[in-house]
Amino acid sequence: MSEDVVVIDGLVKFYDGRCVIDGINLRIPQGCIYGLLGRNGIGKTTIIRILLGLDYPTRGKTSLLGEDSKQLSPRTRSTIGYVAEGHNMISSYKIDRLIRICRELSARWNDKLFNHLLEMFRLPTDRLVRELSIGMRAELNLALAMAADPQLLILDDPTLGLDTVARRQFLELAVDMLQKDGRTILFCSHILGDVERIADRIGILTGGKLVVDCNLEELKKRIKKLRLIFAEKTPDSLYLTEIINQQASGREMTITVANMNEQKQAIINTFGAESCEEIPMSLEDIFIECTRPKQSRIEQTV
Amino acid sequence: MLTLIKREIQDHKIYFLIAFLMSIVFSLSIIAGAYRPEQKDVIPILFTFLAIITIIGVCTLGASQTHTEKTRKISQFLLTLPVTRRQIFAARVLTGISAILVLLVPPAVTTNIVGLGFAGLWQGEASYKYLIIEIFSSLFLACLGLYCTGLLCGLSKSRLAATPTLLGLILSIFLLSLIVIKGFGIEASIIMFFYVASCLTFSWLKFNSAAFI
Repeated sequence: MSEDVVVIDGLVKFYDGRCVIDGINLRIPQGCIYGLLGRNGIGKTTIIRILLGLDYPTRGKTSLLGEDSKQLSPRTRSTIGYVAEGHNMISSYKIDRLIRICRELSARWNDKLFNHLLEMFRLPTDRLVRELSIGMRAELNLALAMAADPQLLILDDPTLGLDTVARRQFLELAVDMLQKDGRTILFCSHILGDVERIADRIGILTGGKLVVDCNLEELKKRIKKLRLIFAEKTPDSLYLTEIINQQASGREMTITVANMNEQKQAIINTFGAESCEEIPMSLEDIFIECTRPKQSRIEQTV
Repeated sequence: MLTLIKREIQDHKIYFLIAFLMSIVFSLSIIAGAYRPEQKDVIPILFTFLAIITIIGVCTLGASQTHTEKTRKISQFLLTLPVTRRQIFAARVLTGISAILVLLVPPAVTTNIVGLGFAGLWQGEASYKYLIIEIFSSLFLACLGLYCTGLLCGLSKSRLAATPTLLGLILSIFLLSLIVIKGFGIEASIIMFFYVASCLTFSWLKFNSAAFI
């Protein structure tokens, strides 16, 4: 088994002639909790489906636990837990039937853990899956994924539809149970607070490309938002590379720069700004800056 | 694999029940035909009726297996468990074959027993058992061909209007007509065998390349 649990090399995916994923490269090492972020319809779920062999790439290669996604063996599949977006389990089945199928198909089923989770979530087993609330479906999906004792847990927006308490409980449980044994989690979510709380490493997907792939601390160090006040009118351009966003109004200019360093600071200083203040950024701020459509950036810049 | 087959059978138990009931009616008709020759006019009508239900039944079973799994996203869920596409497809086809065997084995056994009862008639006819095997293997392949056509119908994205499916249906009706006109025989079996093989290959390729979204 390779050290990288998830490997994506030059992944390209077209849907109806439209490029959804445009040459993504990604490696997730063992024991990492990776938060994959991106706006709706940007291709996060597509990446996960390709990784699991549910869909095929147009170009490129993906592998999980050292095995090509297109040909994942049952043995490797048995070490992967998946909590799907919307929790699409077989809705016409009774819960106990679904559990029986999962138990019989799983090579590493942990009955004790599963029963503990059922008790904790207070899930009824005599009802149809479609009769469960979305929160209960999420809990059932997580319990089924956990009971298989996975080395890799893939969570695709798992807390969608859960209330705040259930969401917190859900995430803490997932992290507690899996991280202590050095297992890997690939986690997609729109709720950035959740990602910020649990992820070691962050990937931001925009325009079909992975524009950010680093750990959270590094991300906060690398992307800086500065408020510059000039004595007179703001300059048209600061001639800096890697400006993510730039807004100017009167004497004030706000810029978001990637890979801020002393050299860039020196260039800014040459424009004679009266003050240069750093604005603290949360992950949500960074995400918004990185995923803002180019058109709106240009309008604001103009 | 057994779990997958069990799941398929449970999901389509109504088809197994119908197949079982039809096999009883089929067997009783064979007995009635042999021992009550005065009812010989009724038997062909009954057999035609049974044949029509069989054609619709096996075709619907195949279509239901592939169509309901699409609408209920069954494969999408199963593929997140330690299961491969090959196993899911094999379980599905084996379930279809089981249903056809439930339909055909009791009448085949009944025909054999009834034939032994009329042993006097068949003395000297060494090919009697061969004839029964030939008839029922042709019927089995015909049912399997229809079942595979159903599988293709269910996999088709644009319902029945899809050209390959429509062609498949026309071809299977043509092949069945061939059996009715020419009778059972090795030639019909060979044609049906190739038809089944091509339908299964096409269904597998479609299923294997499908994106489960």
